[in-house]
Amino acid sequence: MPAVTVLFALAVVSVVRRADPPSSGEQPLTLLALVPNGDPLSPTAVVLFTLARVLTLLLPLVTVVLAAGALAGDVESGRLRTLQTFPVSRRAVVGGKLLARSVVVGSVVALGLLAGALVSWLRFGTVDPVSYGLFLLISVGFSLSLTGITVAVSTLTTARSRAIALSLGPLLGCAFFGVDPGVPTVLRTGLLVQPYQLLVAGTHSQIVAIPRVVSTGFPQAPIDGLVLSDGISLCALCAWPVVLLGLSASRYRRRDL
Amino acid sequence: MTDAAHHDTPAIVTDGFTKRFGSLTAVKELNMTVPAGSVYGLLGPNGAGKSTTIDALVGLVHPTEGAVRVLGLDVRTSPVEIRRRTGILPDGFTPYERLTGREHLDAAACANGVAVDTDEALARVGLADAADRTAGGYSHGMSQRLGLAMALVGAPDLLVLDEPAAGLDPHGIKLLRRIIREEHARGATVLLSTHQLAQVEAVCDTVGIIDDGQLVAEDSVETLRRTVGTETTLRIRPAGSLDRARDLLRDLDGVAGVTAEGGMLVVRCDAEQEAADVIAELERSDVTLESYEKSLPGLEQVFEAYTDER
Repeated sequence: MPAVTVLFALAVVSVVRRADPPSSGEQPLTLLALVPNGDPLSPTAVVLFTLARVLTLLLPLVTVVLAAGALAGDVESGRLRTLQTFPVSRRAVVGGKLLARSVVVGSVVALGLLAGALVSWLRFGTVDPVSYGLFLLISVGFSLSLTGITVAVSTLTTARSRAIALSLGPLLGCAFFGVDPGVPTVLRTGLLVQPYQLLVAGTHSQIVAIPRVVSTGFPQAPIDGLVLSDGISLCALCAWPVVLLGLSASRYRRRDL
Repeated sequence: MTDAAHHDTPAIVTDGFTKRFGSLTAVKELNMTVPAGSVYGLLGPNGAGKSTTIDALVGLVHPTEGAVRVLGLDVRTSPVEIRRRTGILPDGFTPYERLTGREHLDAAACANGVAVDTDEALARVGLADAADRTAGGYSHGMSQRLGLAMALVGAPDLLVLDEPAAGLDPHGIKLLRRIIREEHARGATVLLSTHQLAQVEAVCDTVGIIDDGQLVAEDSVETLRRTVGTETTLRIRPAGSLDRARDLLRDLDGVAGVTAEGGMLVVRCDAEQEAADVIAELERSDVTLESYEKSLPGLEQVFEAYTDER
């Protein structure tokens, strides 16, 4: 864990050090845009915009490294049998693993982003604490959603390497297809990256979510408004881990160890 | 605890327990009863289904068919309560390598909701000096001792030990026997699965032999010895002529062979009853016996009779 914390913090610091407003027309792999609104761009907005783009790739990596071994690693080593000789239910074991990994992942992400805030303050001399605090909370929430998915996959598999492959592959797929304008908005909501970036857009007045702007500019069917709401975004971030954990815990209860 | 040892409810009952892994039937319609307060030895060759049976008792595997009741509780509906009252040393016990021996015991005590004197518990299994070392540095034998100490936490009603002697040195094996006897004396039921037949002979009052997923024999060691019909050996020291005694013995029914060994006659009889008849016949004859000693078939022979020869 300390190594991952240091690496993640270094990655965040590196991103913040290089954070600059995008040149005209440059918005790769993002659903966010910066809008000066007549004022100069706020350094905090630039930092959040830059971090939000990178974290969609970085957080799945960190989460999978820290959480994929939750149960699969213990199955592989034989320790899960030891654990299940204790008078605890299988549901409690999955819950305990989820809680422990969530604390670890949440702490690593929070520490890394706090390091980013410090560097941002050193570089720009100012950080909007409310915006950055909200962004940190949303990013930790996103990482916890990914943790739930990864622990669910780990519960269904019997080897850490398989758990890594089966969680990292789909999560990276989400990171790429979730920002692809060619993918319908409704589907992108299910790919988690769009909900995360929609929520990030609400943390600062100079960041907007492109799908919402497009939707406003070119009125679509009513579903677009609902799909792009903060409420649905939050539900989407919760739905995947809740459903997958429910299924995996149910299957784990019936499994022979 | 140990209520189960003091009433009539058997500690373990399997009723038609069957376990299949895909197309492989590991255990087939097993009917086994472990009386409360007994030390029950479960014997069987590799792959016979011993560990699968033990895993099913504590909810690590689920029965495909049949019922399994432990301490009067159904393992399907009350696995947690069963494990709360059962100390388990599973086959291939693996400790958490980053935790110390003391932390393992603390975790076991916490999970069981009991307090434990970790120094005393670790000293009981000979790990006092390694209490604060991480288990990653333990040898196989030390890990087994740690697993045994964890199984003993909370003075369980039932102790289930799957191959507990694996990796133990002779001192460890002696210690294991002593602990089993102490737990038995306390009133706990002990189920012991092992390949070490001497271990079973030393501590078990009842033996179940499982082969090819089925219970092929279940009784006391003494009764099993009598039922297998294997040879009993008499070592006879006659007071007079060795040749006269040998000639007489050769003519008796039930004597499979007679050989002379350093002033003694080694007589192989077909069964224990026939050995008794041989002694009686000698006492009625003109051969005077200075001494004799009878060797019953060992559990090893019983084991072979019930597994290999069937």
